[in-house]
Amino acid sequence: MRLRRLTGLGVVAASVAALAACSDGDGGTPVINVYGSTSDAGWTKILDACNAAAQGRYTIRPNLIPSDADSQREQFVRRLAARDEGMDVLGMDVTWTAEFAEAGWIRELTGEQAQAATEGVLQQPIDTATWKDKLYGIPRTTNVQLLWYRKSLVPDAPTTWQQVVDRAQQLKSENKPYVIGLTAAQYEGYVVGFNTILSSLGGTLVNEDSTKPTVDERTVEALGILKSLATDGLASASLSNSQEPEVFAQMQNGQAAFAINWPYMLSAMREANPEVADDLGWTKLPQFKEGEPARATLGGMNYAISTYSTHPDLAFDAAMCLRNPEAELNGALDAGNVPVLEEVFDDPEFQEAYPMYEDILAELETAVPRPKTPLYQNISTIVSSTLSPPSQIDPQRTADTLRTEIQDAIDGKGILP
Amino acid sequence: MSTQTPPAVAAPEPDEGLVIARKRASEGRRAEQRLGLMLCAPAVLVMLAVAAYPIAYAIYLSFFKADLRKPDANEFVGLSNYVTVLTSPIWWQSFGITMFITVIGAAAELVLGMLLALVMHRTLVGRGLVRTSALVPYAIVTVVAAFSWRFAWTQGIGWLAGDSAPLTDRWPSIWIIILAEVWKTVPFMALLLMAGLALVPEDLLKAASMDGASAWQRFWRVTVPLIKPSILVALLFRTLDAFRVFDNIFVLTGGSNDTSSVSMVAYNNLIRGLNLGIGSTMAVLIFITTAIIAFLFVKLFGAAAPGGSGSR
Repeated sequence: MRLRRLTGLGVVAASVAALAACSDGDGGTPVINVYGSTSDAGWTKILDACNAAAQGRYTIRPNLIPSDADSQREQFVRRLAARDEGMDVLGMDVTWTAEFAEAGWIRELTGEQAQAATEGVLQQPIDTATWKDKLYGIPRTTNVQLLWYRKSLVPDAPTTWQQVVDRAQQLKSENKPYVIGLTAAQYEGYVVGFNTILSSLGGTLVNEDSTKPTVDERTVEALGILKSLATDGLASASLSNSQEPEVFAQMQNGQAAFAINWPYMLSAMREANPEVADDLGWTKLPQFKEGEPARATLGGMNYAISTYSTHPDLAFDAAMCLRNPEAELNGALDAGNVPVLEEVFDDPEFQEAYPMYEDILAELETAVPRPKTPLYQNISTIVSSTLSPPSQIDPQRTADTLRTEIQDAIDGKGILP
Repeated sequence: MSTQTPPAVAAPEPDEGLVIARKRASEGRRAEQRLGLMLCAPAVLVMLAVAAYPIAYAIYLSFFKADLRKPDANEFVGLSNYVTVLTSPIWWQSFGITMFITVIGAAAELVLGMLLALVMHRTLVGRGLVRTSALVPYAIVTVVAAFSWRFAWTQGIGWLAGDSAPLTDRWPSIWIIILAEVWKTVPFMALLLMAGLALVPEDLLKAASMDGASAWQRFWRVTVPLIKPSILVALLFRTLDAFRVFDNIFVLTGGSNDTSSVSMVAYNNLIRGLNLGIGSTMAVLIFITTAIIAFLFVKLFGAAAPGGSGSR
């Protein structure tokens, strides 16, 4: 009995040793573990091309992570805090840069690497990979929301929010589809929408070095816009549960006349409802402050190199390959990822698949990142819960709550719901 | 008490043999005790390593301002984390929800568990089959079961939901969480109660029946008093378990619409917010609350409760 147990232990120990031995790849080729977006449509094509281009210097191994951003971050954070060496290239949501950089989990890119990572890249995505004037990521994809509308219901593309509201009001009185779709469920997408409105009015949530909340009369005004959308009957009844799929569905089933949503709307609508897709118009986000262009909130993803990676230089090369012009074009055509390289925007193939590329580029000019702070996750949670449901917003009072709760979060005293 | 003492007998003269025998006996007992301690020691050490150390560490952390992002910047703050948590409406809100789910859930489980136990106990044909099939929900991983419930209640695709979307409203969500909890743990309850039922002597029930007691009376006057210890064990286990409810809520609502339990809130602050201080404080408070619940059970139900003097 005892003998058998001991041999059992021996077998376990041996297999652990064997596992450890083969973790560095067969034949000594270093393995670069990539996390994030590895299940994108058409990604294997990109992966195979890069592995071939590596010519045996390294092998990229794709790893699956949860599909929603919160769970992805949880896994990254947990493993990075434990100094996990099994992660080399991290596909990071643009909002994590400050947090990961401040914690020392990702490497600063300097010299030639920084040069290579930013060459030919649009400026706004570079900003999302930057924290305290240092570059921490290789910009990989970007994203901005657009204003979508039904051409048959809205003859002229609106340029201001007031025009959107007025037109919806008129459509409603004519018994035509009138709903304005906005992502206002209690989640990150709601923070994106709020941040867009607030930034367009010239406001911010926290100051430059994220030591103080900057809640002022512009915050109150932005809250007022959300409040009236929720209460004047122009939004969907399920506004407080609307995430991107719901907003898409409101457009698809003919309820909505307007929607604020990401560029995937067009390609997805062509598949879901060709009739609506033919009638789908798009334009830049409306001006919330007359005369001032809207400031769209940046989405997207950057590649960062883990501090605990044992092959940081190879990891950098691998990430650069996964982001080369060819990969960017394929990603845009197959998975709907908006590229960060200027040259891809000039590609006729890309322009055909993305007829709204000019509006995207124009919006990127004035786009803003979400509050850059190591505490972004906490602040985002506070914003989405304080502003939910939108119909319960009381602009002045809600702004005061935001101020105290964000301050508490900054001081490490806040509790997350 | 004193009536139990045997009638006094004149103390026998201490003869040598008896003294030796007593000495041997006590030596034997001591050796046995030593052996007992040594046999227990590995288990105790493992328990200390896996349970006591983390608990002590959590208590230690709860007195610090600690953030996983800045592991070297911990700062002693005394009881201030406790003040923060105990003055937070978010904490009390989730505390209320947790209590509600615990009380309603445990009550429903007790009633249904008792019914199921009686069925399992009294089945004459296909006993094994009945017992096995009744235990199926308990054998399914909670997260898997929770996903089934979530899909069943999802608008458009769920067979229970139809056109409604109950998981997007607060109270329907809470009732669905309770339903999932009850469905999952009734078999556990029934199993414990059935063990109690097996101890009820058939003769006693037959005698009561001869005396003209109805089935209802036999249940309330004979069975229930006899299986009271089992009921309390089952109830205590379930209450403590239910108070720490996490997986069902995590999968079903993710805590949206104010449906978070205290464990969810602790998880959000610890894992999502990386706030080790506040998160540990919550974990300690949950620990204290469950300890209080256990204590109240023992105090209120006295001798019959596990750990009470009469339970042996």
